[in-house]
Amino acid sequence: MIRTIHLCKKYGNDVHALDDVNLQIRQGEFVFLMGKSGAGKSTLLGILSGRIKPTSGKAFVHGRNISRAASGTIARLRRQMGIVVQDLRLLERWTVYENIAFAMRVLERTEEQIAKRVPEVLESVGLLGREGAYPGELSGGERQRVAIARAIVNNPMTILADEPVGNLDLATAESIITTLESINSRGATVLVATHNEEIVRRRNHRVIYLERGRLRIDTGPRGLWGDSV
Amino acid sequence: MKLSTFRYLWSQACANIRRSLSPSAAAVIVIALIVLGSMLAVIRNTQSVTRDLVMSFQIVAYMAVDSSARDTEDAASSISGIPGVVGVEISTKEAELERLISRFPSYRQVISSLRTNPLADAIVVDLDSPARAADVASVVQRIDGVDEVVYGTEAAERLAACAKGLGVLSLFGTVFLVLALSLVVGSVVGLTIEYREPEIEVASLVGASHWFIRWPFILEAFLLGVLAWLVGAAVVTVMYIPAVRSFQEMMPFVSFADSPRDIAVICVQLLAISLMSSEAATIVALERALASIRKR
Repeated sequence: MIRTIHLCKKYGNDVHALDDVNLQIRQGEFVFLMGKSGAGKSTLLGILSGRIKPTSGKAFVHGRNISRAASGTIARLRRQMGIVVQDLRLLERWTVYENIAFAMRVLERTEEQIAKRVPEVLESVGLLGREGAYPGELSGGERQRVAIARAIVNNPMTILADEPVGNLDLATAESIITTLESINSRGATVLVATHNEEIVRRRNHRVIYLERGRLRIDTGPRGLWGDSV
Repeated sequence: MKLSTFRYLWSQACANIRRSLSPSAAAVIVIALIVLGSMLAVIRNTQSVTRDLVMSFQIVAYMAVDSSARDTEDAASSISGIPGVVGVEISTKEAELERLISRFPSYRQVISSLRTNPLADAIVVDLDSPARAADVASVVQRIDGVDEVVYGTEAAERLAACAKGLGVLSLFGTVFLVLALSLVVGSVVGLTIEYREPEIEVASLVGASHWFIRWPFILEAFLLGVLAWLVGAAVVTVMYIPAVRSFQEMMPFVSFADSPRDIAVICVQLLAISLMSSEAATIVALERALASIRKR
């Protein structure tokens, strides 16, 4: 579960990236986090992943206040999360296989476990056969998929994805969101920051809309069209 | 840590030694170790020469002219019990006269014409350090039968000061060189860490523990230190033996530190310095890089 209480983040003296944000996301929900550039989407995901410290307020992830957690606790929490950052952070000198396997090595999985799991994940994101390629040899959509594969390889309880479909054509974006939905269907909480309205409108997931750091719209768990999710 | 994880981290460290900027760091350490090794060799040999001079330092106690052989033996026995005295040797008045004659052969006839031996028995005292000369001499002077104590006060003091000064200088020199080495290695290692910052960022992103992030660098620094030491120590050893031999030929009366043990000591010192400086430089550079990554 994710919960924020009066969460604020100020950059400098004047810029309110987040302003008194209160929200609660239950385990297993699929949530779109929307808003224009500078609305505070990335800041919110940064706080939830422990990369950014809030100015005030609390952010609970899996029952722990990550905003005040020590670096060791943040590392332990991140092992239960899959994080997709906007710039993807793929290691260009490593192959697709090595990029994904690295997330398992951090959790001290054995080579046998890695050899079994990585192809499974590659298949689920539609990249089977591309394991030997380097990130520089992949298309934009394929690179996004590698980042998602790295995020889901350890079966995380929560996925935080920052603009995973940014700059992608609609068909590719659809297939990536479908991949995330299939992970969500297995019980993981998925929080996707996007400004792709077309993708959001085609689905009936919960939408949280931020504007200048404030929470303006929250459809709640019933989703965008009011049906039960 | 699981064995498989350690194997992975070790293989990463080995691979990074080849592919990152580590060879540059190794080259810097090798050059620094050669300079440091040469300095250690000079220090060790200077210490050896000084120790020899210090060990051979003596004072001479002259007995009164009318003292008997028994008095001389008693005085020698008393002197040998004084702290700092490592050896006592009696030189009889006859031996002293022979020495005088051999020193001034042109006066042989004059000296031989004397009816009685005007010289006194002498006691040659070996000390463990020239610094003790004044204290020992004052004690010897008070012993019954001793007429005069002679020693090179100035030489003793200079020798003691020289030995002490050399020790301090060596310590400062070594500390300075180790710091300089750490600084240079730190800069190069800093570049290798910068080169691999994306890996650190991703490791942190996927929840790597502190040690998982640090271990590859610590192992790499260990490998770096050992490899650089192997080359540096080999060069120093190859240069050292001919250099010491040529000095020995020039100054046969001086004993240089040329035993295998001396070379081994220098090599062990170099290994310790190499490992300490590469590890210290790596840890400092790594902590700086991690602090900067955490702020992003």
